[in-house]
Amino acid sequence: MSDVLIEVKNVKKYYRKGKKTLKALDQVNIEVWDNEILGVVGESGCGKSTLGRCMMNLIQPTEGTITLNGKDIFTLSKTELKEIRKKIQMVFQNPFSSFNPKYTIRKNLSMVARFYGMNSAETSRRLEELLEVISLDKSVLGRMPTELSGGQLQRLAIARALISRPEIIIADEPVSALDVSVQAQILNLLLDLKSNYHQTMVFISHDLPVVEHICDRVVVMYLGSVMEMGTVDDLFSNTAHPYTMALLAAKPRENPDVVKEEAQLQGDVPNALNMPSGCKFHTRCPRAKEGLCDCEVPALKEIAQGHVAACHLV
Amino acid sequence: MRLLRKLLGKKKDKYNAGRFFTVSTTISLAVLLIIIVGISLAGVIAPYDPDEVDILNILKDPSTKHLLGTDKAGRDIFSRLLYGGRTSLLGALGVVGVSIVAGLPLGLFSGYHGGKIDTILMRICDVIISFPALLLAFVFVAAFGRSLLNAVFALGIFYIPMLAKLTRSLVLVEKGKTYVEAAKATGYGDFTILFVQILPNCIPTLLVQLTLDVGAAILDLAAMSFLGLGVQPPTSDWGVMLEESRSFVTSKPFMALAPGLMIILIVVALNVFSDGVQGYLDHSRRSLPSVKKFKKKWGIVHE
Repeated sequence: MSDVLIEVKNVKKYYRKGKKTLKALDQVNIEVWDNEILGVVGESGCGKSTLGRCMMNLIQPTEGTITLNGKDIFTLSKTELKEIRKKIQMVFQNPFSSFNPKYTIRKNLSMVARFYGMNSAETSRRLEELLEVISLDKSVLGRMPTELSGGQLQRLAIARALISRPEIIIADEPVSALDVSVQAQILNLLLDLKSNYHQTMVFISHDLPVVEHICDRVVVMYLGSVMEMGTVDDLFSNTAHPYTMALLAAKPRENPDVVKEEAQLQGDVPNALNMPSGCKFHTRCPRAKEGLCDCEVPALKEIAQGHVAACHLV
Repeated sequence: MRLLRKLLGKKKDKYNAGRFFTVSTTISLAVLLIIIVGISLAGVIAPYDPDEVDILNILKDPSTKHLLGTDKAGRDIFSRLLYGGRTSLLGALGVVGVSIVAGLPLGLFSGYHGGKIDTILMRICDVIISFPALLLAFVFVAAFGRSLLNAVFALGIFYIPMLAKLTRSLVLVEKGKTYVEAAKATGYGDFTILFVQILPNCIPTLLVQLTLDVGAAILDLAAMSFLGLGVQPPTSDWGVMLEESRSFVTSKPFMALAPGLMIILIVVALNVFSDGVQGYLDHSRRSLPSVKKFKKKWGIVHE
């Protein structure tokens, strides 16, 4: 087993809304291993992005700790925090607004490099290296963010994240704003980074085929909790949790006439302010048992080596 | 030299530098320069002392001796116009300056910080705005004495909340954009994020408001001077001249037209000029090169 890079321990993030609390993250335990791409999937509002932002120290969790190489990232001094920031970088969903529209790409990127303590010679060398990595022409540096396409911008955003040679990149739906042909390029770029530079990544997405394509391990989240976690193979072929099954059933198939009867999801995601009792998924679960699923919160059970699921029925 | 070439848009590798000197900006800049040179060299150009009373030559029509005629005390209008420009423009710039110094940081901070501090600051602004400007100025002048400086401060304070509110709303829009979050993720401090990342994106809109403010400040100062709270006689000022000529509008139109036209001219020129600057700052509005040049210079990257 590889080394643990980031450890998310019992993290809770609650938002107060009047008298009610919104549980964006509820007892989340995740480990990110060295040199892997960890996928985080789930419907919108399940806390994927909140989790990513907590790992980035952009949001302070209500409870719990997140450690990078054993160091808690929330109890750091300013200088330590700056060092940690170098090690965790982020790629955002919307490439069109992730660069400051007032500055050229060169300025945008070199400001980050200079901030991390590179001198101007190092900066320009690093930018050249990175342009090679993301296979873009040098001329893009002189252009304004508004003059570039989404694919180019997202590659540059990845380049920006790579400037400081981070140990981990958190990619928050990096391809969902792009069209399919460009998505493939970005995904291949991410895979290249992993194979050539052993880059560790957390890949947040709602797109299962994409996750299946690039991730090593996958975490399935529902309403702020981890439902199932395991390697891609385990999760996609030996699916344990009914929610994961339902998600897989909803992904596009080669033959759309064959419908997996059991796995069809009914209704909407429950209101996060009014969480269901017991297993959060029981209101929509086709296999839910009365008296068990709606009363007791299921714990994460290990089904196989490194494959866990939170369900009473497995 | 490099800056000049950049402004002219002739620098070769700066394909997106855009052009600053369009026809409208050139003309407005020329007008502004002529006015500024004129009023700053008033001592040399002006044929008469602006405060010199000449009872024998009151209310004269324009002639070679008095280019724009004389007013009710026989003072040369042309000379008064030149000297008055100093008080008017400096006063107006002072008012806008006061509002920038206090209003801009206030708005930036309030919008960026949010929460209770934002609410409190904005309610204070509401209170100031809800006072009539002149009433506020009365109180201020009553407390600190009549002078142009006090009038400028009083008006400046009144302009602060409006600028602060505009800045705040612009910051609120920018704050939600991904590049700000990316800047936070990079680890920049709040000060850098506010002044290096957010502020440059607010400047085009602020610029428009500020030039409008200069025009409004000239007129507001004139109104205060009319009430005897601003410029004290016999100092000349465009606003004061405008008010003095009120009763002679039909018989001696030049008395009112001269300062009136100057105010219009400078406000319009400032607006056109700021529009040009804004267009230059906003690269998406710059004129782009032709497709052929585009391909040649940018070496389009194939996706």
